[in-house]
Amino acid sequence: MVKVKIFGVLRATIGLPYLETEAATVAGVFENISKIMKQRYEEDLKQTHEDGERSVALTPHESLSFGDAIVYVDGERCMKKRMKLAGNEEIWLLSPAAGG
Amino acid sequence: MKKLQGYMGHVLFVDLTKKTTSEFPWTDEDRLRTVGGKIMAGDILLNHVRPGMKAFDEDNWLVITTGPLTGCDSPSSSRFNISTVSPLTGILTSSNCGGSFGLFLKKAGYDAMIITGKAEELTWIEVWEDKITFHEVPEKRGLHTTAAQKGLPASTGKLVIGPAGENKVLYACVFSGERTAGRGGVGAVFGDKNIKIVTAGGNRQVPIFNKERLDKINAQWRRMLLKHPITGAQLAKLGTAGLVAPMQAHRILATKNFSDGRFDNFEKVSGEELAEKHLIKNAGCHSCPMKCERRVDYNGKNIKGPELETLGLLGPNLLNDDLEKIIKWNYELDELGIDTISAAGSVAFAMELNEKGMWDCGLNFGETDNLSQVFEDIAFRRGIGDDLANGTKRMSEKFGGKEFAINAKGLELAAYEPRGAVGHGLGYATSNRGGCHLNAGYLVVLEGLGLNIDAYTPKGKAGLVVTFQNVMEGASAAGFCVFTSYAILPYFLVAKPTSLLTRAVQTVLKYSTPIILIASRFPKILHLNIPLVQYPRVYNAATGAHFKVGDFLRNGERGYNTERLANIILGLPVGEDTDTLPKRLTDEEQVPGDKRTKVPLDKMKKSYYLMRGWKDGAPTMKTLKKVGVRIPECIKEVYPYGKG
Repeated sequence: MVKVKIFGVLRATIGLPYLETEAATVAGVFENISKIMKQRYEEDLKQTHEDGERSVALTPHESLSFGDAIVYVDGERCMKKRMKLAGNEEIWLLSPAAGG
Repeated sequence: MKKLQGYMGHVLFVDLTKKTTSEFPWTDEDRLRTVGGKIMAGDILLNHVRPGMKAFDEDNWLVITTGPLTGCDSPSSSRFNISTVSPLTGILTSSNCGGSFGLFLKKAGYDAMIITGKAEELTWIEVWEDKITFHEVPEKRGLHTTAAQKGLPASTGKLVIGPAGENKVLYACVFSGERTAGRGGVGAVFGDKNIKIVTAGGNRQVPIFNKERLDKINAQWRRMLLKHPITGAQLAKLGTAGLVAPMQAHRILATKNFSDGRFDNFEKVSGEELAEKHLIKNAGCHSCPMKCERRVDYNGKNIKGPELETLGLLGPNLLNDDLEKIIKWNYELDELGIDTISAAGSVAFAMELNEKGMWDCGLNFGETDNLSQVFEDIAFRRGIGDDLANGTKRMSEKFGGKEFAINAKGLELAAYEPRGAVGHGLGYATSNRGGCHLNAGYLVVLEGLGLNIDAYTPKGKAGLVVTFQNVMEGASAAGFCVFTSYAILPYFLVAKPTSLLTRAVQTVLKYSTPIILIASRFPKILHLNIPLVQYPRVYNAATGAHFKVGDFLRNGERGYNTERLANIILGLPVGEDTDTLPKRLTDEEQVPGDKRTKVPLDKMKKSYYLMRGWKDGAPTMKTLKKVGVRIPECIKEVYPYGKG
């Protein structure tokens, strides 16, 4: 199982701080995350319709692609979404940030 | 006669020795040349300082300035600046603050306030429009920064120092509410002059040239900031604390006195941990849509939480992973009136000196139970606190260890380890006030945090550092928070950090030096205004000026040269030692065996000086004239860099 740690704004976007998933490539990790997000998105929409109050604008994002995140695999920056995974890696997903 | 709007048109001059006040002459020509803020202060001090002047000399001036946009409700424009000769570095410091004092100084009718002389007794300077009163307040001696502000008149802006300022800790701060003019020891200069409190207030209104247009641009800019992934999302959701994890990833999280760029337990002191376990709510400065301040709980009190620098330097840099301790120390240091960056940097250096057997001070990495006491000892200059209160540079002169005394020009570095972002290292070295990340140009925003240009190559970095230093200088002068400058990075690039387009732009940026050089030499090619760079548009609407992007950048460049020239007059050495970093950062690899992981400073400095039009770190007379620096009469004949 690949361990995925999620930081920054992405944690709110995806709705999870951490997950374990099975994937052969980095792209596969994003596909699995998108499935989770899609499920959350639909549940949230359903909730919106049931209570009739919540704004669709506040629902979670529907999917996440490789280009949306800064990706690190075992502490090294990953620039290839087709990078193969052995299954025991730790992946960090980060969002752009600045401050001072 | 003042025709420019946005300004109040008056600069108050206060002589504490004589207990007199007068009007300091400042014209529209001066306003257009400097805009305001730190550039205005730099211009005033350049034409006042003399060789050999020291921070605690009676004739050292404290110059407190606002920007023309302060009080105009533009986004994040409530800031003010304090410049003076720094007791820590011996050169100019400019300390920027987000509290309300600037707003109230303008309500009192002043764009700036200059203080000279020394009072005999601890003093409160009360400014209410034209009435200036000097109160002796010996009963306030020793009060912490919160207590010192209690009981002062409502509807006034307040500046106070804590015990550290009174005891001339060389990195003591000035507080406005809970906001800090933190760097370079401006609080110690207050203390030396016997100023405990300054208040300002009144009922004057800031005149605005075209309010309808200003409101329209302000609304447009506010929307732009809120939409941006950094200014609208990250800073709002996690504050600057949200940088801990990205800095860990990019190997720039200063760890164990900058001996590494990663800390195994970084998650325990991260912005996510702070938000999920301690955050009460977000807050922010007047008119700021970003709201990056964290309100956290401390012993049942709702207090200002630690910023990134404090988290990094009191956390990983001391090998401490206890976030609750950092929240507590942050509060205590604020109450004592001490700069958290310099204090933490000094403690880390002392820990390494102790580890190496060079100073038996009892401080050890990872053992932090006694630090509250150490900070109080610093504030009152007791025991080891007396040496710690002098900062890393002076400690290295006494105990040795210059190569790992982490400072530039005597100012302790912020929490970014520059061997993982070498352009940022160039910024630290060349920054006029010393090891400051923002005065440095904050190139980490391109080298991994916002965009992702190659962080290890020196290629193209000099031009980018010069440009970002000028942008931040210009933004600050107008009264803006420099965080607004992050929104200049196009939304579509930052939102898609690993997309093909973003990667292509990052590659192009590496080769941008010739374009930047041409734009710098011929600013008229930027004789235009674009929505991405809102500063000149807002400035024009508020004041009636006709600034373009080129004028705005040229003003930043003027500010940088102004401060540099003042520093040389004050004794900044010119030559190899002008802009340096400790050898740990330039000669030792952060990742052993990886030659790229050290700062190739000399290589980048050559390009940097070329871009700036400097020789050996000093602006040539040709450059000074070209960028329009008001050159003091005293050096015109003797300045040794006449030929450019």
